Order: sequence, then C-alpha cells, then structure tokens
Amino acid sequence: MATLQIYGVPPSPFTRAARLACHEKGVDYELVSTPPGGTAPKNPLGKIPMMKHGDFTLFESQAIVRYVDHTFDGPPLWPKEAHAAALCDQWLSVVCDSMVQTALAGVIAPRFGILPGTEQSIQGALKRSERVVGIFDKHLADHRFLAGEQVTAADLFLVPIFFYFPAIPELKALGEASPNCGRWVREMGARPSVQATDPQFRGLNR
Amino acid sequence: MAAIKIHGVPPSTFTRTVLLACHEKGIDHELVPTMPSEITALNPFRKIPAITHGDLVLYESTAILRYFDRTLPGPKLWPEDSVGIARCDQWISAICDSLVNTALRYMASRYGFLPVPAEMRQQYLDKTAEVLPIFDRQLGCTRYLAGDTMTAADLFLAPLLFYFPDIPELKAVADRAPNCARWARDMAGRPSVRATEPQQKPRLAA
Repeated sequence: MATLQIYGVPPSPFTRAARLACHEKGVDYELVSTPPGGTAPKNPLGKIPMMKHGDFTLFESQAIVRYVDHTFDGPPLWPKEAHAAALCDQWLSVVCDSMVQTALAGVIAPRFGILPGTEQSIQGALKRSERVVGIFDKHLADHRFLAGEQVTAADLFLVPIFFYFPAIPELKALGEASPNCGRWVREMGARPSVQATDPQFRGLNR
Repeated sequence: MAAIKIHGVPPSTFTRTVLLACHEKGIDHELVPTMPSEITALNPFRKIPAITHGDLVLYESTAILRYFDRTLPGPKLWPEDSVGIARCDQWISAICDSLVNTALRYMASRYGFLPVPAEMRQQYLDKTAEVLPIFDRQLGCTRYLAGDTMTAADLFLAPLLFYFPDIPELKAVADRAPNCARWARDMAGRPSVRATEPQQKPRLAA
C-alpha cells in the first residue's frame, strides 16, 4: 500500500495539482476516489483534495503540495533562493486567486455544469479572464516557467486550469491569442506528470 | 527611511495582515498609502498590498509573509516542524478561500464596495454562518489556529474577525462562536493588533 493517500477525483483541478506534485517528486501515492462533499476522513469544509500520510490528515491543496515538498525526496518544487521562492509563492497565490476566480469559477465551472452561472456572468468572467491571462502571457514572454527557468509548484497549479481551456471555445480562442502561454502549455504538456494525470474530462453536460 | 515599504491602506484586511507581521517580527517598515486603483505599476492584478524591498517587488500577502519569515529576523510566524507548518498552511488557505469568499465578500457588499444582488449577499452570509463554526471548533481545541502558539494563520484571521462586531448580521454569527471570541480577546491584547487598528473604518451602505 502506498504511504500517501490523496482523496479526490481526477477532474478536480486542485486534486490534479496535488497529484502532479506527487508525480514530479516521484512519491508513491494512491488516489482514493472521493467526490467533493464526501471526503472519507472528513474535511469540515467539504472540499477536495485531502491527504493522508500515516495518521496525519491534511486539507487545502497548497498545504498538501508544500507538505509533500518538505517531507519527501525528489526534485524540489520551490526554488532555494529567497527572492525566487517569494516569486514562486506570489505566482502560486495569483493562480489560486485571480485565475481561479475568473477563468475557473467564472467560466470553466459553469460551462462544465459544475457551478451555477448565467450567460451574462460567464461573459463578465471571460472579460476578466482576458485581462488575467494577458498578464500571464506577458510574464511568460520573459520567463520560461512562472517562477523562472525551472518548473515549480506555481506551474503545477496553473496546469489543471489552462489545460481545460481547449474544451471551451472562448477560452480556446483566448489561449490561441496568447502565444507565450501556448509555448508554456506545449512544454508542460510534454511532461510525464501532466500526461499521467490527464482527467479526460469535458464537463458533466456532454 | 525604512528598507521595506508596504503599499496599501490600513482598513484593507490583507494590508493589515502584512502590517501585523511586521509588528510581530519587529520589522522596520513604512506604509505608503495606496488604493487598488493606484497599484498597477507594482501589481498588474490591481490588488493591495504589495511591498518593495530593495530591487524586489512582491505582491500577494501570503507570499509577503513567507518572504518576511524566510529572510528577516524576529519571532517565527510558522512552526518549525513539518506537521505544524502544514497545519498553519492549511488554516491560511482555509481563511483565504472559505472565509474570504464568504465573510469578506459580505462585508464588502455591506460597505458598498461590491455591488451584488440581495440574493447573493444572503448566500455570502449563510455560508459565513456555515464556515465560522469550523474555526470555532478548532479554537475550542487549540489556543491559536495552528496550536499553542500564534502563527501566520492567526494574522490572516484577525483583520477579518475584527470587522464582525461592526456589522450586525456578522456580529450575530460571531456571538454564536464563543471560542472565536476568546481567541479575539487574546489577540486584541497584542501590541501588533493595537498598533494596526484602522483609524478610519468604512461605513455601512444604506
């Protein structure tokens, strides 16, 4: 039995971020299929993913990825140098705030039938997504990955969101209009971790 | 002249978290009053606070607190052991996700910063009433969120919880959370909390 259990489902972007971290570090883990709201060792907030390592349970994907990085050998997911580590934290936080609030919660989740949304709310979120993606595209023009020359945790949180863009016509168009994001997607798409965690999910409605 | 400049305004809960961290660690700093509309040169995502320290420009308050804790002397804001660190990270994420997306949005709508339909405002309040008891249960088990000592997680909770008494509906939610009240009294005794009390608070919208 694997030493680490991840409770969640593959289409959940945050479950995928936690799994990507395990794959990148070479941590043996078991995915325990758990839809949101039904976490086995109960997360009081009803969210996935959850992690179990021995008798230690942890929720919140950022906390899980940091714990996995501290606890296991394998390539570090944060830069060592203080300024670079701070910029990794910054981009990670921007992904989990601005990108999640616009493209994920405002467009992808309602289009997939997972969160409620009106055509008007989706169009508003698309406008905001354009601005946010534009800032990422500008940043990725000068940086191979979000926090510099190496893949870090920040990239692992962006993958699950960006890789849903092609499933939604307006976001697909936005992705195609963002050449540096496109280059980053191709580089990330070649990684075994990204291929191994592809959810093959295109929404509840299709 | 202080080496660290904090761009934000005292009533902003995340600005206050960064100011609290400076006081707790004894970091010499200067507050440069900056509204979100004025921060674009430092943070293209238009959110406060941001800091400058020499050449470094950094935004996202979680990244800022981690940077302080890694690079500057003074009492540690994160525990030393990996389980303690993970618990602290977990509570920070829980605040920045579940409590910010409910209670802070409710406050913003009551103060007139976030125009939303009455139905959505009510959802923010209902969700706050679901989420706060989770914090209350934790604070019934441990003196501070992540254990027996104060950590960064408490510095994220304090600015939010200290607004509850100002808004009758949130005060009613807080009045049903006795352990949060005990924690708030503990925190209110700290010099950092007194030194960062906003001199001007927003007014409730009609």
